[in-house]
Amino acid sequence: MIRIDGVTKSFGKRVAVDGLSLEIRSGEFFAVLGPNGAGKTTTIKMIAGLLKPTSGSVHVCGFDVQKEYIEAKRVMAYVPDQPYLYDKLSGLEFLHFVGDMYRLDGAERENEIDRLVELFSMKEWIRELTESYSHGMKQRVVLAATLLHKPKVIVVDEPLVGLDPHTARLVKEIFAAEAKRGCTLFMSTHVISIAEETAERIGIILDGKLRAVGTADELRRLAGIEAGLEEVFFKLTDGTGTNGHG
Amino acid sequence: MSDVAVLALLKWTDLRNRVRSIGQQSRFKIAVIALFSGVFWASLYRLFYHGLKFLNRAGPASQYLLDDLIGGTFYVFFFALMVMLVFSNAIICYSSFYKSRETAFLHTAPVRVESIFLYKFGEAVAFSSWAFVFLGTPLMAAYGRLFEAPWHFYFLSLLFFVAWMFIPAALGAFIAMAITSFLPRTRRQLIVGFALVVLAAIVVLVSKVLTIRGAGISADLRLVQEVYDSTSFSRNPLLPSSWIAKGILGLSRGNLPSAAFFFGVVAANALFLLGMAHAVSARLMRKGWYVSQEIRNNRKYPARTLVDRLFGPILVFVGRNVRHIVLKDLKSFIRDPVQWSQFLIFFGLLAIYFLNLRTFSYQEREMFWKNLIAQMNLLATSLTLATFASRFIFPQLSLEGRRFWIIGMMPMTREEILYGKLALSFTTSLLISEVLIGISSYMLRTPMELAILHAVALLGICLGVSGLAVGLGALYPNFAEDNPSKIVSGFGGTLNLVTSLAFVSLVLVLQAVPCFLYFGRASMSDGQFRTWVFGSMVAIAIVSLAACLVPLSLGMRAVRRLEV
Repeated sequence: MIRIDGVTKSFGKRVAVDGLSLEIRSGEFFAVLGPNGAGKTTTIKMIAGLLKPTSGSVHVCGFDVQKEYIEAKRVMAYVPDQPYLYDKLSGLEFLHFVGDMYRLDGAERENEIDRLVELFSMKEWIRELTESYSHGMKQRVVLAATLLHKPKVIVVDEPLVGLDPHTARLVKEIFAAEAKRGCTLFMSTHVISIAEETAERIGIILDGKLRAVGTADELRRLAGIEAGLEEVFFKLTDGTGTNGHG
Repeated sequence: MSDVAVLALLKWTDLRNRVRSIGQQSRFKIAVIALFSGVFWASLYRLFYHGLKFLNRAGPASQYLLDDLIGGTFYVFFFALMVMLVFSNAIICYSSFYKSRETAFLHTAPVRVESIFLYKFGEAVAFSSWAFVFLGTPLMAAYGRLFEAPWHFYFLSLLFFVAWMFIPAALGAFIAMAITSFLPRTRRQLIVGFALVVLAAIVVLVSKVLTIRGAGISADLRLVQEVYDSTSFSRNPLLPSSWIAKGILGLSRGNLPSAAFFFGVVAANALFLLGMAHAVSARLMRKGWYVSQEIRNNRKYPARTLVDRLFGPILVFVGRNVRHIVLKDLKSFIRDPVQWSQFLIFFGLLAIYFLNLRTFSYQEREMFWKNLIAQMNLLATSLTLATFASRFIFPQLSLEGRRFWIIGMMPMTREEILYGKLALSFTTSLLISEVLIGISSYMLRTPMELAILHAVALLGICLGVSGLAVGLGALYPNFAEDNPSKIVSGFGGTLNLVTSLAFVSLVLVLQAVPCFLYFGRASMSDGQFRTWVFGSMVAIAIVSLAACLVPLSLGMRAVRRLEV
């Protein structure tokens, strides 16, 4: 579903992602872990087509993200860490706009929007302009918009930042349900417990390179310790952190 | 629905909701903005009408030259507008195509880049060209009234405007896409390079205008002829500005075939350029997007920079805390080329003009003319200052926005924050404007009394416009917005611009009265003139202190109550 082939991304002399290769299967929930500046967001943006790899290629559902970008985006959804909404549109108008963009049929769209409004408990305020929303409310609208066109691949950058415990739990449940439905999820986070709790496989990125990849148990074996994932993470990253642009 | 239609529908919904939001605002606010806009339009109309009437009355005997002279103002007017529109469109397109969060969002959606281009281009045209229509319509109305143009002149000239504004817009879009995609890869180099190219082009053209050979001209007719000749570049038939000027002149004189021909030329070129821009956008929108995402400023800054060393000692007259705020704001301003490139163009042009005053040989003319030119220079400097304060100082407090807690939590009073903004505005504007007016006075060899009066008037104006911008900026803050142009375009920004212009006009009138009575009508003795000048200075001091202190104290009260 997602194939990353030898991708390198440089910003001037600085290499943010260095020869990354990875394949995420259909219906898999994959989390990428790493300290600040490790290259997680750069990787996510290359999958979403917002950055062009300096070398290598990214395919989503068989479509080259650079060459067949319309087809790739039609089957994909991207949730950034800072959600973007139009201030002067209501949440409902925004959802309809996304429906138009993905050419969803009228009745199907109406039903799906109703379902998502109910699911994310947005009924009370969804007709208000988004400029009055809190961060958590905005994030819920963005997540609803993400699910609206039933994407085959969801790419998420730090999805739980700023969410209250109820919404965070809801989001985790929804992602799990989406994966069960056959949707592929690629999530970046630096919160180790979230990766351990939700993902089937975890990749650890450090200094733009993939240090380790596998299930939590496989990572434990690789690190050679029987401990929580936090300890495993520190062992595999030599307890280091990087500072820079991610 | 096609992706272009989806985006158009999005814009329509957004606009509709914005209009509804305006309806929910206070009626007083709407009435004030409408009134100010009406008064501003009417003032422009009167200015154009009397200017054209003056040219008509004071023009030379030759009717042939007179026609061309008034027509000549059209060519220069549209040429100047074209340069400004290309420049502003290029800047707006750059930030809209490559820096906006909405564009990033649209790039993740299944939308063709050409459609994103059309959507963002439409926005840029509207954003950059409304002022052109606002400036152009009073000129057309004044011209139409003076020369009793037929009724269809007003409607058809507006049609000309609408078609023509797509030409500089498309050129600006080309420039933004080409520069971002192919030229230097750091943001600073990009904007500095672009600003310098535009400035160089303007300098060449301005120098050409200023190169008048007529030292010691005795007859006004020759001066008029030379000014006319020196602006011949604006009548180059290959320039789009000459097409609209010829078309509108044709319309006003009832020459409909000529007007129709030039409308065809304008429309065909507008469509051609738009088509070309749309075609290249398929490649350059995405290429430029990727390049712009890689632009990063990796420059390392020492703890104390040249700004600290240079401006620290100048700011000895303010307290330690206030000085640190001023230095922080100065550094932020200097490191943002989008901000200072506009500033450079504003004041750079004035400096070039003042330094070239000798080419007109005004210093050899009668005192009446010297005074008139000195007054015009003071007017230009003051209006630029008022615009500068409204554009750069008014949004300063709003720009603290989400970062307000940083200075809000510091061991200092909130009043000191405003004093910091006031010190920043007053120091920078005073330094620049006094140098400019000093050059003007020196070049014109004006009498000492006049030079001192103008220096004092500018001191008062700097104080007043700074107080107004800081005070009203604190009274009407907008913490939700990061874009200074959007903060300025709100109610507070409009109120600030209008009150600043009114204040500047009052000070200019106060200083102009003794000058015109003495130099123009010679109706007072030297001693009486000095007394009048002193009285004028006292009046300017009172008005300026009031313009500074009243809004500042209101702003202080507002900032004390501020809850962020």
